[in-house]
Amino acid sequence: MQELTDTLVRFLPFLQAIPRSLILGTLIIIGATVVLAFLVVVAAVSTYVERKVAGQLQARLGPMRVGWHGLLQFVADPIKLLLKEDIIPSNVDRPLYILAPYIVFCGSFGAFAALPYSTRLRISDLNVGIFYILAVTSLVVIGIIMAGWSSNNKWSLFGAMRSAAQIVSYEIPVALSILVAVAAAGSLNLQEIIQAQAGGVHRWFVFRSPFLFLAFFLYYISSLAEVNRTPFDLPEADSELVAGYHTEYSGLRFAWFFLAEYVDMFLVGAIASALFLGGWNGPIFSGPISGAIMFIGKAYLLVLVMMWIRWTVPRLRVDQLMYMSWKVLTPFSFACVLGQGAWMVL
Amino acid sequence: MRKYFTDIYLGIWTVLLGMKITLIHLLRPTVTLQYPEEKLYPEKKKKRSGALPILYEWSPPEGYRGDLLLKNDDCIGCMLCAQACPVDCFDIVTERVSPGEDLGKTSKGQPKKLKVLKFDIDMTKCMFCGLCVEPCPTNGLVMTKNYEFSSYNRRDLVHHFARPEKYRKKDSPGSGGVGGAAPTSPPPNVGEEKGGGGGSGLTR
Repeated sequence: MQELTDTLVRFLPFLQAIPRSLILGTLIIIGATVVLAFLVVVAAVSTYVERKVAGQLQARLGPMRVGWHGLLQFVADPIKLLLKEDIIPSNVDRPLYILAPYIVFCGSFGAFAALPYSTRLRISDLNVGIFYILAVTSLVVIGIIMAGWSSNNKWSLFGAMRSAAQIVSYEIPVALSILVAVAAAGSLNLQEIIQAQAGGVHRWFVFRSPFLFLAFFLYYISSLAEVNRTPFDLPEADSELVAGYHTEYSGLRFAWFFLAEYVDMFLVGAIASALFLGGWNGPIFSGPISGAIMFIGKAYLLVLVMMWIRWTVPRLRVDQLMYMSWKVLTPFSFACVLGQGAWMVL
Repeated sequence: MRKYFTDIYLGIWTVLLGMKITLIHLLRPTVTLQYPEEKLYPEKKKKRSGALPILYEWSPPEGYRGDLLLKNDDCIGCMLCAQACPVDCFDIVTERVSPGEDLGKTSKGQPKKLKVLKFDIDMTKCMFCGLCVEPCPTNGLVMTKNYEFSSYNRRDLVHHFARPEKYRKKDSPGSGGVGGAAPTSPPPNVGEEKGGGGGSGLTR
């Protein structure tokens, strides 16, 4: 953004009359709007793809009626949600209830500011990029607890409590497995991490060392739990908790949670592709635009695998969930960090 | 310690195995039929040969109790069906034939002695028991295999089988035969025309 402002001022001299901070602020708002539009499209397409994949996995067709092969379904669904009545139950904690969906969404939305779409296409090139993403996505759990508590509903509260336990537990293997990639690149800056993987598929971090290979899978599994995706979807377990922490939400407020869920999926895919799969480094091209296509394509491939897992694996029990986090993923990710350190020293 | 690692190995292995199975299903053709457009007609089997082997071809079996149909020419107006009906969905009005008039015979050869002026079946009440079909002496009332007669309008589900205008035409061949008199109106007299007044949407 700073660079863009500099470039704009250099090429359009009349902008020098306007204070720099104002130009920067305007650009930031424009950038945020563009990213928000991108997110909405990503989430909407994801819902369609999810339903299609779910259908095909079960030898069904999925949506077929709205548009050609149900292609307009992703337009119809948001319109339906927008037109629904906004119900606020009378006994909820109003300010928290109203605030919660936005906090959940902002947690996911904030992370997109630091994502490296390609060499030039990026909102912000933070030198602590991946650390910032880890930090800002932690906001989500606060929003979820707010939603669960303020709803004044037992299902919501149970969902929120489970979610808190789950996200806090799985944050550790996520952070540790990210640390392995960070150690391999020697930087927290996502652009630099991706540049360290340039030069062909064999240079991608997944294929660089056995520990990075393992860390990729550790990251992927534990981030599935971070975003409450199906084998770890206890916070919104339909069969036990109706809809978990967003039971009481309807219409547009529910849509924010829904949006955040699908945006989170994409975010997990994007981070995994940036850290381990070479980001915008394609086998053939990695220019400003083609690199972005590579990056989004890789992220989407991982999203598809998430859907595939969702329709394969049944939900874990709460104790199994905790066992998996603390006794399997965490020790293994510690071992990965140590092993990668040893690998780089030797 | 040994169990710990075997558990992890088994966990990964079984998940991969499950994912292999779901992947096979992903690549398999779908079995869904887009119902109103696609149906399992026997002749359709060949078209879908690329799909999964269809294990059954469904068409309503013999004796299927679907929509009711009255073969108008076979009705002698005996009202046995209305008496048999447990839910009272028949509404039949008949009139004795005037002397000297011949209504002809049914396809089985029974003489017709009553004019059927109104023969309405309310399919919203019908419970498809088939008890009305059994006593019919002429086999004029049958249950077809048609099971797709849902409607947006409740009135469309009432079948009006009677053709009172048929008798009128026979009575007065000179009339244009416009519309039928309302079935509830008194039966038209011989030689008297009731041209413009009728037109009460007789559907059948």
